[in-house]
Amino acid sequence: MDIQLRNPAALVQHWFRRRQGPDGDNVELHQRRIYILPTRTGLGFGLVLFTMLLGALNYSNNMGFALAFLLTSITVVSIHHTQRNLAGLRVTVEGCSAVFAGELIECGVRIINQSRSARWQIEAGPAGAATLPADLPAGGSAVLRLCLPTTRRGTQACPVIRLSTRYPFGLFEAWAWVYPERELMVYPTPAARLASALPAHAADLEHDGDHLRGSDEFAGLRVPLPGESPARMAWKALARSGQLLAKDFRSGAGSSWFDWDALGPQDIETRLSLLTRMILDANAAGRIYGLRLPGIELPPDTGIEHYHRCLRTLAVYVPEAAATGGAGKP
Amino acid sequence: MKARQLQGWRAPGTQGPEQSSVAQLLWLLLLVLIVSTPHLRTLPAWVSGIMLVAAVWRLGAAWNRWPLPGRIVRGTLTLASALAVGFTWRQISGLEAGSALLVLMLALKLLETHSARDRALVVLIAWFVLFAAFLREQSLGGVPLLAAGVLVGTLALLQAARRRQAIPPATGLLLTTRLLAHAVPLALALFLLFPRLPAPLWALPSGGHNGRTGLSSQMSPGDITSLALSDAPAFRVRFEGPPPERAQLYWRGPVLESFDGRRWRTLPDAGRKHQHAVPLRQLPAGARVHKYEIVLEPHHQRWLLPLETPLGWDVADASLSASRELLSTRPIAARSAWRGRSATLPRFREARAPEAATLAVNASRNPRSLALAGEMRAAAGSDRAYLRNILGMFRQQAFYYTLEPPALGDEPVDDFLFRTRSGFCEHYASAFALLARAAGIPARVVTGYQGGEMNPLADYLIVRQSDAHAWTEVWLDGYWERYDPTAAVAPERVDAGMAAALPGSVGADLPLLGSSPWFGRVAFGWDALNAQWDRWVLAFGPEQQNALLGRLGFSSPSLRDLALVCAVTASTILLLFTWLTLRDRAREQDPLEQSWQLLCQRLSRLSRPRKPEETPGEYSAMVIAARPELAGPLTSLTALYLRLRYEGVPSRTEILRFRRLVRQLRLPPANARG
Repeated sequence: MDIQLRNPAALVQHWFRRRQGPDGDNVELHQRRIYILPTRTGLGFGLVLFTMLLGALNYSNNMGFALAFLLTSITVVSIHHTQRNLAGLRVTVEGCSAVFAGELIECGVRIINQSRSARWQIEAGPAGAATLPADLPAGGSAVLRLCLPTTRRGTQACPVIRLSTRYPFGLFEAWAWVYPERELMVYPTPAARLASALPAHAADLEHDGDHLRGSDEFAGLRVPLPGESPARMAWKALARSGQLLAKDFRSGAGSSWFDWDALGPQDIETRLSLLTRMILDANAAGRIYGLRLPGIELPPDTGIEHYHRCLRTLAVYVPEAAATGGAGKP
Repeated sequence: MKARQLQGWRAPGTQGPEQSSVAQLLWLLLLVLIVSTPHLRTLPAWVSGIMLVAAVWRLGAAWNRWPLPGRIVRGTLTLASALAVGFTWRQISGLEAGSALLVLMLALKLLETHSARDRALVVLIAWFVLFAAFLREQSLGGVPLLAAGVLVGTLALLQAARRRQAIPPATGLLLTTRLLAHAVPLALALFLLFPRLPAPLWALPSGGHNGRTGLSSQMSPGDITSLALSDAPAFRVRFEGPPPERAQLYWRGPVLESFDGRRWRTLPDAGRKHQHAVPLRQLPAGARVHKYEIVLEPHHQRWLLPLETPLGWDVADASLSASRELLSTRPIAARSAWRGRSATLPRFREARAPEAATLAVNASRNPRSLALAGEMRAAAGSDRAYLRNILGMFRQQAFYYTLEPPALGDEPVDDFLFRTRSGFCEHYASAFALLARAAGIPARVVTGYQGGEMNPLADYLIVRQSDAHAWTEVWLDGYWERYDPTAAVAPERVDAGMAAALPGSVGADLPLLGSSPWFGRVAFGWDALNAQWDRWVLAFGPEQQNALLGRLGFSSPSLRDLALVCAVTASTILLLFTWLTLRDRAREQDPLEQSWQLLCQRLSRLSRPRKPEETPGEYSAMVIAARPELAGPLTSLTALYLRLRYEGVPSRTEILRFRRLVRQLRLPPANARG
């Protein structure tokens, strides 16, 4: 951290970030977080105005005064218009679903103009990258697409987004920083399909895949998850209460365990890749599975939520040896 | 509401190199045309030629892809035009040379307009060119120029700053007018209250003014063979009460007391005692006192040109010189107004003996005139009789009044009196004063204006440069008495004005108003408007600001008071403006967001307020955990909110439904917590 802060740009960025705090997925740009400074053209114009004023003063030229004061007022008012052009925009981060290491994360940053007047010449992009400005009509929105390369498993921070505008005259630039809090999840790269070592436990646990009629127990109703299969919805309950709920199941017997220790003497990343592949396949087949890592145990379950929970666990897994080693450091 | 979405952002350069669209260029060209028109009227034709070539070239480049000049060609052109200006005017800093240089730079900058910054620079230079036009001329005609220059310039800048295609003209005009409407009140406050300087910061360039004024601190009648008659107003006067007779309207300017036989000059004022105004009690019985207000055109000299004889004036630092010229301490560099009181007297008391210079005669020049003076004085019984005889000579012998007199030689008065016998006021005044001095009577030449023309459409008198006049004053029995020898030759000059005094052919050429009744009316109407403009707008200066502050309750306003009032007013206007726009913004707030805030507020009474970092889902889950009985409605409301917020742009009916659901939600009382 300290090394980074010797760079003045990073120091400024750090100050902005500390002042604002992190942002959720959905941010409205309040006046307080919009910064504004004159551009180079604006500074030049200031010089021209000053010269005009001096000239008018010296010659007691009232038409000169009228021109100089009109232009000064227009400039002052334009500061307000520049700031207002950015204020109230809503920035939402969308997409950004987790990917496997080596794939590109595709993120969308949607800028929504929720006001009743058009917003002009809005520029948006990750900090340091210039973009062409876009006009946002009243109620309109535009999406900034970010493609982020990934190399290793774990979490990756969402890039800082800079929104700016020089509307109306290019004399001032207003800008805002958005620090999306969301961490982008990168799962381990799955091993190739024809992996040599399949766990002994997993191989014998075939399942028919229909857990609704199978041995799983019905455990109650719960709030449906995004992307959940229609087959899991409690349609009868909906007819009764007008409330859409999903059925929850607990797995009984007949589940498989994907076990770290069962994978034999291979290095950590290879084991994680293998486990990723197993979970991928098991989920595709709709099987019930549990995950066992040293110190972590996820009981057998099925469904999209369980699948992602397992992969997330693998993505951020820190082996005990490394963890204790790391903790030993001052 | 239909969901509208845009493509999103692309990196610059994906659409080829930056260039200006035709619409952007047309706005710039229109602005350039507007601001350079007042200059091109007065600058040499080659400047207009270069401007035209540059404009056509740039348009051709935009439409037909003509090649634009590269950096080297542009640099050469810039240097060449600077040299051409230097060659034409022998300087590049004077007003006219400077304007020419600015206009040329503007033309050349047109050839380099690729980026938004280039285009903005064109607008900035154009505004400066407009400013230079006001330095040269600020009549009422400047108002449409100012309005057009600011409106079109703002619009051109709005378009110039865009890095994609131009805004449709109607939208651009709407945005610009809204912005201008916000800016005008502030500009007005600054105009009225921004502290003005009573004195210039640096010396004003004098070039370009001398040719136009009718008065000067010296006079040599023989040199001028044709009087340039200018129709330009010298000043305008508004009398309180009935104005005096035309023949009594002597506006006193520089007094010429030193004469070397050829040339009349003012005496240096330094070291001589200033005069006091004639006290009212010394006025002869029956003298009428006239109160008036004068709006002077800038003449870059110190003369205030009061009506003779001045009794009082409201210019704080003005004084009567030893020769009774009313002088301000600084040259009149801008239109300025002052009020005064005068009595129209043919003579005034001067107890102090006149300067020796008013008797000085150069004995080696004009010998025949000096001899004539000796003869005539001997023949006359008294000084008065002698002077009367001189006037009689002018009247009875073959002396002519003309504006195109023949040139005079080294003995100008001799030449005039005995050879040419034709001339205008300067010739007669000069000869009369010399003859008086030759007979031992102190005499001097007074220049100024005589007469003026009532504007029939408004209640004021216009005095033009063509009303410039010269007359004499002689010192008799302790009084300075006015003698106007021109009146002896051409009494119409004094009674009815220059046009009446001249033979028909010359008079018809005079560019005076009123030559045709219809044109005269229009011209007088325009002049009346101009006079109002001068009086209320252009003459606005430090005195008027002080008067304004006085009305606001400051007893002795200082520059600091003014700065304070200015700052307070400007900030108030800005705050008011900010408040108005913020109010608009609140009204503009998203109704969906408002309803969601309302829901959160209602729920906060049951559990706790939503933390800023909590997502809607997390918050509602937290509330449901605390109050499970709300699970049903809250879950569906939250889901609806998230759907409306994030899946495209919701329709108005959906938003209204959400609001209704939020309002109808029945919440248990807060104290019934389980």
